[in-house]
Amino acid sequence: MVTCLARWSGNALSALGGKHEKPEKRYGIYAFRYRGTRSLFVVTDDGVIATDPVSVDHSKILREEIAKVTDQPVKYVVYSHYHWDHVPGGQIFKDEGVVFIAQENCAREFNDNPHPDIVMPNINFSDDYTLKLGGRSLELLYSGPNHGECMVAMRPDPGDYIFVVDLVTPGAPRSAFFPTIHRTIGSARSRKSKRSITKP
Amino acid sequence: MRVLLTFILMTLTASGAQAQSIDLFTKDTTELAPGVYTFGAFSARSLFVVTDDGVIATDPVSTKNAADMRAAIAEVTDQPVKYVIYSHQHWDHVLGGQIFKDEGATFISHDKCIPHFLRHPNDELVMPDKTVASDSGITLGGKTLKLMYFGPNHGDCMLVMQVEGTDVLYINDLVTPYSVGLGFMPDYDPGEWVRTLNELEAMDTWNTFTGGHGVPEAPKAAMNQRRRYIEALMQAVLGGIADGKRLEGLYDTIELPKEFQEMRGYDAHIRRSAERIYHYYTMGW
Repeated sequence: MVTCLARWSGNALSALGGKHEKPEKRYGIYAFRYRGTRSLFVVTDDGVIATDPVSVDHSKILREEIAKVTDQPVKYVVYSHYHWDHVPGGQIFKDEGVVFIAQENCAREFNDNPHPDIVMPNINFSDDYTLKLGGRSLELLYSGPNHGECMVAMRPDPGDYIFVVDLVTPGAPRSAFFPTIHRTIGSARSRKSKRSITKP
Repeated sequence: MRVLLTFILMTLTASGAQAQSIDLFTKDTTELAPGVYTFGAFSARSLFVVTDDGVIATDPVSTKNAADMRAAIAEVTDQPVKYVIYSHQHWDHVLGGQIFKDEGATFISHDKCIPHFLRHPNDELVMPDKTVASDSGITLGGKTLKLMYFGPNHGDCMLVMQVEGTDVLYINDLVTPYSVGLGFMPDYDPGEWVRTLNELEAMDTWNTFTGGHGVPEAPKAAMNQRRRYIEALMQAVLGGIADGKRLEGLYDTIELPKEFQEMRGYDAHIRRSAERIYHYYTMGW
């Protein structure tokens, strides 16, 4: 018997339990966490900038929490990097006309590793990028390969902190091995097999 | 210690299972086909091809290993080494080539190795003089060493080699016969890995292979076993994820068929291998 299974497993993350935290606000920037994964959102007079939708469940609750603090529409979603535990689930934002932004190397990964819940970026920048909205700025800082090859740290201006995904989890040693950190240069791997494996 | 590292390996043959004791510490030079040799020590294994116009060597491994391999080549021929081919970019196979550079050898790799070499410089690495972009071949003294590229699998610049007219392949790291390999699957893309092994298995132009580690020669059945092992592990992990298990709980549900549990390194590596596969399915990496 030969059965093809998609590598992506729809239940993989939605099956996990957990609660979300009430967004914490500093400098007008909100940090939102659900099931152990954090996103930011920045509220301005001209709209909202959100980061990492994470999953369909995560982004739905994130959208509800944004609505509790502002009537402004979400204008931008920024991806911190390309991994599936941070970027799927953006459709709810796409449906309200949001522009998605990522460092350009993410698009290659999304094409090589398609996931049904990932919204492709509209803006693909190569180096640092400053996103301006309603008098606020979110600086997207690209430092080259580290955990994957499209990771950006985000610095709100004004603000005295940066949002760093996965490179540091405070107080935790992280995985026993370091996913992707040790992966070698991607240089257009151009997969031959798209995402399916053969069940023996 | 030496005794502990003397492995009893089950060698699968066409006629059935046969026990064979292999001391992987002992340096060996084994002729696989006329003029086609594999040189191995504990750390790694390489191929060299002797022709009337010189020698084509592969993977120097390290300065020490390259010196040992050079001596092994001198045992069977007075011909100079004209070419050194890198199978892929990893340091446990490509370092130490200076001894061959000094006698004028031309170094060759797949062109996708170059960015890796530039990003990860190493004093013991001789940079390639030439690169190949797809299937290619090196002809010397009437023999042609085919360089076959299957795309990304273990890194993205792996070359599988075969001397035309022989039925033996040199396949570095994609299969170590009768072994599960390193647990965290360094720089392996599991899906591409299985695809590559399927493509290799489907070729009817070879019957045995020599790997980058392990015994000097193994039958195609050993590749088939490795491929089925990876697939069985992937299915087990995928099933656990579909059942809502997280990584910690998933480990305890992994129970592969006895055939795979008897592969070398199973107990030591299975948990880390399962973790790697878990991330493959949940992170898109």
